[in-house]
Parts: sequence; structure tokens; C-alpha cells
Amino acid sequence: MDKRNAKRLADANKAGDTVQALTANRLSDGIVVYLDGQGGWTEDMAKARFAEDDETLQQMQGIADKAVADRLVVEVYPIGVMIEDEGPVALSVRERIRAAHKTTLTKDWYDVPL
Amino acid sequence: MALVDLSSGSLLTDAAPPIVELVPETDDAALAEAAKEAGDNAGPIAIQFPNFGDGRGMTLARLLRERIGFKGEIRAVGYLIPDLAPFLLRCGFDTAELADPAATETWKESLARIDRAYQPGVRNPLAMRYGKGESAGRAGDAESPAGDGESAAKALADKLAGTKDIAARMALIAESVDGRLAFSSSLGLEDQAILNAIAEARPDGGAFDIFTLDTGRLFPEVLETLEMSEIRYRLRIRSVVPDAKEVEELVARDGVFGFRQSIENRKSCCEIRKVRPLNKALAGAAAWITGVRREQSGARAEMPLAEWDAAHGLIKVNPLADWNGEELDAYLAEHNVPVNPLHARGFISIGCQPCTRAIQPGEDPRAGRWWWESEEKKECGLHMNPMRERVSEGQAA
Amino acid sequence: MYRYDEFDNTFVRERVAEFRDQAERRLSGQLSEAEFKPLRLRNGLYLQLHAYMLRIAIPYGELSPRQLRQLAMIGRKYDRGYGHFTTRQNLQFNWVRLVDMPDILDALADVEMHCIQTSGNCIRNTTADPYAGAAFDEIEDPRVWCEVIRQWSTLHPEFNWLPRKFKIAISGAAEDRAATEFHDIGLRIVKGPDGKTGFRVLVGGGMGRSPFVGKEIRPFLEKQHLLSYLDSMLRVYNRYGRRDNIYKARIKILVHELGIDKYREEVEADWEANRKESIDLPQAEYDRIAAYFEPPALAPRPVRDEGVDARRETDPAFAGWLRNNAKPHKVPGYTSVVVSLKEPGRTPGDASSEAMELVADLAEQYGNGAIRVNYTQNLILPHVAWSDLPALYDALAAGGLATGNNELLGDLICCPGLDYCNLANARSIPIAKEIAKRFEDPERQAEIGQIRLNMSGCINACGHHHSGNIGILGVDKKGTELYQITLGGSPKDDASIGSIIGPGFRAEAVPDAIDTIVSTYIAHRDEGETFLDTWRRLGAEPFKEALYGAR
Repeated sequence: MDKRNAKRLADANKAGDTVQALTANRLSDGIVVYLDGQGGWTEDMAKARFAEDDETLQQMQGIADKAVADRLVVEVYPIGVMIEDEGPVALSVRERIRAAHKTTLTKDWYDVPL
Repeated sequence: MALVDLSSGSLLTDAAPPIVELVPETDDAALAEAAKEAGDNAGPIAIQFPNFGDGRGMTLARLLRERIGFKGEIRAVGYLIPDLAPFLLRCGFDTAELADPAATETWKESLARIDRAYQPGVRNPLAMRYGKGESAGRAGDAESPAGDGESAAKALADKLAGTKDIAARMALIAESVDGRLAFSSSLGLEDQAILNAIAEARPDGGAFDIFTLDTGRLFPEVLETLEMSEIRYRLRIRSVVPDAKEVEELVARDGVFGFRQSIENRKSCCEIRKVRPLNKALAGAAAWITGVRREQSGARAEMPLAEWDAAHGLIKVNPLADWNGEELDAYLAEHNVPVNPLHARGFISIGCQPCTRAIQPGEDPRAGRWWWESEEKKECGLHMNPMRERVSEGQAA
Repeated sequence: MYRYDEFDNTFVRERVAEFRDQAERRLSGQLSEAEFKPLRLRNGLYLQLHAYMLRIAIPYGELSPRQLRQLAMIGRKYDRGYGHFTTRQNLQFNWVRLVDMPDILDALADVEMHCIQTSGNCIRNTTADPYAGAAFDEIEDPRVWCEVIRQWSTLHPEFNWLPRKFKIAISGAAEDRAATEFHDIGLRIVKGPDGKTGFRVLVGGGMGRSPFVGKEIRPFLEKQHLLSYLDSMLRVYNRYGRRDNIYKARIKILVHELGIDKYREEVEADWEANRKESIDLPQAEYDRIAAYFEPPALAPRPVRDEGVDARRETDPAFAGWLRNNAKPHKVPGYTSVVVSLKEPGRTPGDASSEAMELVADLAEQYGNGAIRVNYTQNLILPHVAWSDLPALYDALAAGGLATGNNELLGDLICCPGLDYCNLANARSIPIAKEIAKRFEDPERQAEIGQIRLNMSGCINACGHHHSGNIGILGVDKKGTELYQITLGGSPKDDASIGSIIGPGFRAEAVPDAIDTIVSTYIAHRDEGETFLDTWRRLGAEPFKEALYGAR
């Protein structure tokens, strides 16, 4: 884990009553994905598996390590997520942008709030 | 410590320890001192690479070669990845330390990839790619009368007959012939022996203009051999290429493998890819040095050591004409001359890739060329002397 | 423009084959990510926030219609139908797949393009005046030397593992339109004592964490010695540049720490010993390259045109576009047209595949087939006949490419920021859009006049915020995006680095803050003063007071 990811994990842990998800980029096309409950990888953060404790996160990390070895994903790291009524929301702006999978081509596209 | 030999990509396991080992911070004074010490003790200088992203060692090697003129082995040690290999080579390194001897193949592959570079450097003494593909060097004396040429050729042949030492013969050629000495090399065994001899007789190349006919259909191994030779001898081997338009028209007419359909097709392919570029490269040269040996084929059995080539208006020199295969092999082994790896795989006479196959032990050495054709016709046209051809026809009649 | 010969073509194809092999080894597991990363970066492939990003070198910002169409094709087939022109005259695709990369590189090679050295600690694409060969104030066309440097620097054996990345800019005109003072090496073509042209050589300029304006190492270098002198400059940097701290590894820090005099001494000593004759380009090779840059045969034409005059009278949008986006040309009756990628509400520098194709078509129809990329993230058609302007304007307007805001406030420079970039700390695109919308009214922009607004989403300063008359830097303050404003920077001949005006602003407050700064300038300016003039005359006080109130 590089320094940036270590910092991200520390930030995620600081956040109190939040859960954690594991995110990565798919090796073949680089698209943002999340580890899901079946050990697969989903582009939809709402379908991600969320860890409420370190033990679960460790276990998820083990699955992710294997996915890295199997060349499915790269750059795995945990993120902090808040479960809101309308669904899970990443704590950091960066992760909200990643989860949105948005392009900036069209006018007035921007739906991650300023 | 295992090393990879950057000129061949092969593994060296019994390397001598370095005389000095330089850190990347080495200054000019220490560099000069190290070169002297290593030179006095005839041993290698090692240059450390603390990590593969640290390019300071590249500068040190170039300074050793270009400024200080260090001729001994320069060895890269430390954190090195195979992808650095071509860069190390071009900066003047001879060997590199291998963390894992199993990675030799990857190093070899990385070394085989380079056959072009823009920059001048240790392997490329000319600025950028200037000079590639055009005639370089002094032009020969214009319009020598043929009679003078014939007597000069005869005189040279007599001088050359006085020794069988190939380097001595090259020195004789350089002394006797005034003007550009064109050496057309196919990177075959004979040509490599001549190259070695040129480097011995004239380390800076002198008036020798070394070139190869890059037909566009050469084996990659031929280009690798070219690369290795340039590095070993620090001499440039020019690539002489066919006219693109002519090749396009030829392929449009006959197809990519049209030369297999008829001897006529094959000959026009040879004509466009070899004969015409050769004629272009020979224009204005005073002599043409070839690696032809009498032993090689029936058509070559009467080849003199030097003869007047009226068609090209120059003296054609065949300094190996009287050598046999054993003598050649012994010379190559003794001088550790870089040779085409294909020879070890049964290829003897190597031309264009589609027209060359390996031969079986005992087969005629040129049996691997245009193997679908009969023996008498197997010349590409490069060494066809119209005069002699008529003579032999007359004899046959 | 330069065309590949057999050598260049084979060279690039070999690199494609090499990457194809490396990508296959990665996908089959022979290479780990750690091993593959430096290899893909050598071909401009980054893993960014959302996906892989591919940076394609546009040598000194010059494109042919065929190349631009191919880029449009790549955008459509392998990306999401658009690309982003960068502040270094390159193009980035944001959504390419690793598995498609070898085919993309092949498609680029088909039109004589590549991605070599668009990343990594090596010599990058040379920046040039985008009006080269057309500008009325040009002393000599710098593109020949750009191409010479491109070839010389491509896979240079000695200079491929420098302490840090290395960027060279060349301008051959009276006005510096290549930001030469903010490059590792800046070259200005100047007339020497005997009337011959040569280079004024600057070194150690740069932005990033520690911005510096370049320092003069040589007032005049004979042209024929350019490569051997660069060789010596690079060698001294390669040997003595810092490698212990990534933030102190650029040449600007070496020059700053040694002092320009000591650095010059080292370079001159090395140059004295350098084998100039084997490094400097022989005249014949220079001539071979220069032949590709012969100016198009443009017959002088009338400098006035009734159609243009009539349209200007009746159509204020056209008149504004004409005033700002049509630049003087060296041949009478011609002009260089800025094709704006700054329509308010759009991402600065983004172009859809359709837009690229339109520009390619129009370059053929009206522009002698020439296209340039400006580091201000616009395209330029350098050779357009004055009388063709109304037709060209209409065609561009139909594609949303005729915004007449060149060098006005709406022509702001902006990096991709946190919307795309893995290094960014804050977003820049949405802020830029909000600012552009705030100043959308052309009359307001005309009233403000020429002004350079630059924004970066992190300290690496891809948006050149240090050299903006107004600069905006996005930072991350405890999880919140915050925007620092600097004033007084300039990328031109009077190059200067902006000063921070005070505490940062939250994203939503930035447009107001810019409005306040601009209004303060208008209120205080003397007749004919630019923003920079007023700033330099008055200093920070009035702006501070307007932004933060009396303290």
C-alpha cells in the first residue's frame, strides 16, 4: 500500500460511525469497481460489501489480494462510506466523484454537489 | 556474480572482479583516476546503479568512453532491469550485473529490440542518423581508364597473395588504393572476419566504408549481428536500402512472395532489393571488398584476390578468396568475432529471410539459398562478372 | 509539417510492438503491476481516478487534418467520444482500456504519432509558439528546431533517467507565446551581433511547488551548436540534480541552489570538452528537416474584404470573434484563427470527436491543411484568408467552436483536477465552468479586456496558476476543497509569479471573489492599463481590502 492509500485508510477510520468498502480499478479497462458480497467486483457502490469492523475488512482484503494476483484488479484500497437513507455515500469528495463514473463532456452534467 | 554480456545477450558466470567500483557521484578527477587504474591492470570498471531510475551511471560511462577514451570493460552493477539494456549498451557499457540469472532471456530480448537510434553515442559516432542510407566518405578517383584499373588490380592481387593474414591484407588494401573502400557486408561469417580485420588494421575505419544491403527482408538476427558488431568495433555499418517505390511496384506486380513463382520473378526481386542499391552504394568508390570465397560455389571457383570490375569501374577485392572453411572458423574463434546466431542453427549462407533455409550437414553450403532452384543459377547478381560469365559460357560450348 | 521517413516509421512501429508484448505479458501475469507501471508510463498510459488515461504527444502542437481525424476516430472507437487538449499542447483520452492500447498505438503510428516520453523522468514534448510559421512578428520558424529536439531526445540513451521530468520550449517571435520563461529550458530565437539568428538560452524556470522564472545562461548561442549545448546542460543536470527529494529534483532547484553562475560554469566547462562535431547536426540533416517546414505558398491578398466589413457592422458576436480570435499573419490578407474550446459551460480544452472532425474539415477547406494546439487549450488554424472568415465563422459556430473570447476572461486555462486526476486535491473543471458562466456576457468580458485566468487542482500546477494574472489553486483543507487566489502572474516576456492575496475561498465563493477582483481592477485602472499594469502600480492593498474588508 502506498503512502496515499495509507492516508486514505487513516482518514476512513477516523470517521467514526461509518462503514468501509474496498475499491479498486479493473486491470483490463481501469474502471472503478468495488468488492461485492459474492467476492466479485461491481461498478455500483450500492452493491458493494461494507465492513463494519476491522476483522471483516481484513477478510475482504484477503479476497482482494487474490483478485490482484489473478489480474482482475489493481490499486485496491479501503474507503470510508456513510450509509444514508438514499444509499451509501463515500465520505471524501474524491470517492464520490469516483463512484459517480462521470464524464465532463456535456453541459450542466455536474451532479456531485460543489 | 552473474553478468550479462550486452554485446551478445549471453550469460557470463566467471567474470573477473572489477578493479574499481564507482558510485554515481564520482567526479571527473576520480573518473580519470579510475580509468588509469583499470587500464594499468587490464580489468573492468564497475559503475553502481542504486536504483533503475538513476541515470547518473549512463553519464559516467559516456564520459569514460568519449572523454577519457577508456577502452576496457565497463560493467553496470546494482539495481538494473532488462529494459535498461539497450540504453546501457548505447552509453558504452559492456556488461551488466544480473540479480537473477534466470532473467537472461528477458535481457537478451530487450537487447534484440534495438536496431535504430536517433542519437549519436558510443555505438553511433554520427550526429543523429545523418549519413544513414547515403554514400559517405571520399569519392574515388574519377574515370580511371580501364587499362590502369586492370593493372592496378593485378598489382594488388599480387601484393595480397604475399600474405594470408587478413588484417595485413586489409592494411595493404588501405595503403595501395586511394579513395573510398566500399565493403559490402552481409554480416555472414566471411564478412565478419573481414570486419574484424578492418577494425584491427584501421580502428577508426579509415577509408573503409562499411555497409550492408538492408533488403527489407533480412532476418532479425542479421540486424542483431549488425548491432553487436557496431558495438564491438565502434564502427558504423551503414544500411543501404532499396528504392521504396520500386519495391512497392514489384510487390504490387508479383505479390509479397512472388519470387517463389519463377526465376525471373526472383531475379527482379534480387535486382530491386540488392543489385540496384549495391550499384548506388558502389558509385564513386575506388574499391569494393567482398567476402566471396572460391570454395563457396561452382560459379565462384576462379575468383581472384583482386580484379578490375569494369561494370562498376572499381577494383573488386576478394581478400578471403583463397581461404577454406576451416581457416575461416579458426580465425573467427581465435578473435572471438561476433557471428550471426543463425549459423549455430544450421544456416550457412544467409540472405533474405524468405529465400534462406538451414542446410543439413554435408550439403553444399549454398544449398540453403533459393533451394527450389537448380545449382547453376544460384547467384543473386551481386557477384556476376559479365566478362567472366561469357568466358564460362564459351568453355561450356 | 514533418513527415516520417522509413527510419521514423520503423522506429515507432518497433515501439508499438514492444508495448504490445509488454501489455500481453501484463495480462498473462508474466509482469506484475509494479513491473508494468514504469513501462506503460513510458508510453503515456496512466491509471487515473476513473480509468486509464492516455497522453498522446502532439509534437510542438502541430497536427494535420488526417491526424486530427484519426484522433477523432480513436476517441469514438476506444474512448467516450472526446479528448482533452492539455496545457502542454498534447491530447489526453480519459477512458481508454488497457486491452485496446496496442491497437490505439498502431492507429497513432498509422498517422505518424506516438506516446513516447509523454510521461516519466525524461525529455518531454517540446512546446512551441502555436503561430509558428504564420506570426507577423516572427524572426524565424522554431518548428525545425523543435523537430530536431524531438528526434534527438527520443529514447536518448543518457538522458532517459533524469532526476525528474524535463520540458523545453522554443519561441521564434518577438512575443513569447510558448511560456519559455516557465520551462526547464527556454529558447528564444534572437538576432545576434552579426545579424545571424541564434538562441537566447534560459534555464531553471518552472511552476509546481516552487515556481521560478527562468534565468539566462547564455545571451546568444550559435544555432549550429544547439544540440551539443543542450547535451551539456542535460549532463550537468543528470549528474548533479537532486535525486533525494522528488519536490527538489527539477533543474530549477539545481540552478537555484548552485546559482546560475556556477551552473553556467559547469555547463560551459562540459561544453568545452564536448564532442560538438558528433552531436551537433550537420547542415545537410538540418536542411532535410527544414525542407518539411517550408511555409505554404500564400499569394498576398487584399487586406480589406467587403463581406467581412459588412458582417462586422451587423453582427456583434462576429465582430467580437474577429477582434479577439483572428490574429495578425505575416502574409497580407491572411490571419491565424483561434478555434475556441472555451464555450461557457464546457470543460476548457475538451473536444468531441465531431468537433475534431469539423476542425479537420475546415482546416482543409479554409486553412491550407494546417492545425495547431495552443497551450491555452485552444486550436488554431494558422493560415486562413481574411475573406473566408465569415464562412469559417459560421461553420465553427455551428459546432460551438466560435466563442470570441480568446485571451479574455472566459479563455481560462484549467487542469482536469479531481474530476479525473489521481494527483489532484480539488476540482477545477466545475469551478472554471462557474466562472465562465458568471462572465458569459461578451460585453462584460470586452470591458475587462485581456486577462489571463489560470486554475490548477493541485500544487503540481498543470493549470499554470502561478503565471495567471489571476491564479486559482485548489487545495484540500481537512477534507474540504479550498481555493487560494494569486494575483500578478504573467507567462509572457514580463514573466512573473503571482502572489497569494490572502486566505482561500470555498468553491461556491470563488466566482464572487473573481468578480470582486475584476471589479476592483476596473474601478482603479488608468486609461489603457491592463490588469497586470494596475496590479503592478497599486500592489495588493486595494484587492485585499475588496476581498477581505478592512482589517
